[in-house]
Amino acid sequence: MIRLVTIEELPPAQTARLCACLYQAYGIGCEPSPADLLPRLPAKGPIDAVAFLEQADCAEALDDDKVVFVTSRPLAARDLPSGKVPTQSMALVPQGRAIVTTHGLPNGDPDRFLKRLAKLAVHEVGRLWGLHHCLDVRCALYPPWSPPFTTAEQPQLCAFCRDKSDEKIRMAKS
Amino acid sequence: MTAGKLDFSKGTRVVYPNQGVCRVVGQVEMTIGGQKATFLKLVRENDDGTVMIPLAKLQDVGVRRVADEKEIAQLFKQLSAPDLGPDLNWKTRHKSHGERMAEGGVFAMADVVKELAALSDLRPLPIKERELYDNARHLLVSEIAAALGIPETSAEDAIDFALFPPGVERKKLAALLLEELAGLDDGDLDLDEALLEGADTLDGLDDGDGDGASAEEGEGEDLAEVDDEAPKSKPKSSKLSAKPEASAKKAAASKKPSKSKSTPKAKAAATETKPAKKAPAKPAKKAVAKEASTTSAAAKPAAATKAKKAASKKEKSS
Ligand SMILES: [Zn+2]
Repeated sequence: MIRLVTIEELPPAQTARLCACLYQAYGIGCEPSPADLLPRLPAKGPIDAVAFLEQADCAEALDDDKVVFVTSRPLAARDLPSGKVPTQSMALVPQGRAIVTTHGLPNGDPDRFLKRLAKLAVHEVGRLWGLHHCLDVRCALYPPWSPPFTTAEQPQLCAFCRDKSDEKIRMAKS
Repeated sequence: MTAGKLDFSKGTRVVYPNQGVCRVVGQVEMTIGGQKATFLKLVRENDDGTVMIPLAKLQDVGVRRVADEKEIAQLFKQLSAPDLGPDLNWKTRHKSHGERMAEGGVFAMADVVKELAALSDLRPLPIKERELYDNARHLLVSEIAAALGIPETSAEDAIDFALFPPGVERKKLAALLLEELAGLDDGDLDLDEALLEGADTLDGLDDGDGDGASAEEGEGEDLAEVDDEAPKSKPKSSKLSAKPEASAKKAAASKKPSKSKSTPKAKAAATETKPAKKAPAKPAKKAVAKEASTTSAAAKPAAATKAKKAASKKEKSS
């Protein structure tokens, strides 16, 4: 089960569509869950995604559930050995938790907004299942800061990633 | 980095080539086939699998310590450096990648990842190489994460921030390169038929199989719509022969990436190219190349290096 926790309010229709996109991508159920076990967030400024995911939890989540937090707050860029990496989403695999932000998404067009948000969520849930970044420019597992990720907006997986995720999900169930 | 200098105390993290980061559990005495031997017991961090290695064979199998911060910094320099392009001869490429994976050095794995990423700019990877890319990437990600004490997802982002810099479309770089080379005779280029077929579809990113005269094994990837049925055939894991003998040749290969493009075999492969294949590629390439020329200047060294290489080849042949 994928638990979708919206930190700030998201219209119910958008939450439902986001759940539907995740279900379509991975074939496992996705349900909204209450934001009941969140750490205290800074009053302003970007959220440190790693620190947040280490502490945040969802009371309804079972051990093998994946939890996706959605926020409208920006996520802080991460200082990594290859540079300051912009962070639109992040996942911590051992914890089974990911966060995506709507900050910076095109909000003039609700359809585009939702596709881009869904693509980020599909990306991070894939990583929670142990998938790696993909070489296919149209795949949701393509590096998210790279141009094709934002221009090809469909939240799809390529055949390779789809097979990999099927395999991982099957192994987790057995 | 020899086994003799390694710390094998309980809880120490080590790298077992082709298996990844492992944690030392301890030493165990076992009798196998009437022979008593002491084994080092390791647990793979990836899947908690147990690995037993006879103490006498530790050096042969290449168990080593996790790379340190200095080596990781060097590794990122290697990943960010302009690449000279992939080896287009699949036989030498497979051999070289197999050797590097068996060797298991962190720089060797980075080479495999970088070279296959560069190859995928030109054509979709055959399924076996796609699996190899994923395996090499997995080993690299887990070692970087272990070395720096960061989440694996951050380690992977760091790798790809170097390989896929923001604002640069890798496939457009490939199109730019092919456009620059368009004036050269096919006989001067190391382009095999599979490559040229891939180039035909760079703009449309057709994921069809690029197999051609090279008889390269594999198939391209199809993008599955989220509501499509799952593909019928499952990719099989590439089983690399992890031969323990780490020869001096392999050690040299890890220090200096072996580009086999200039080997006689690679040259022979180049003669197999079919000029007729090239014509339909041009209109698509031009359109993409125009856009590519407006991308970041950081993108250009790789294409320029390759164009220079091809130009010097042309000079030699004329
Ligand atoms: Zn993919």
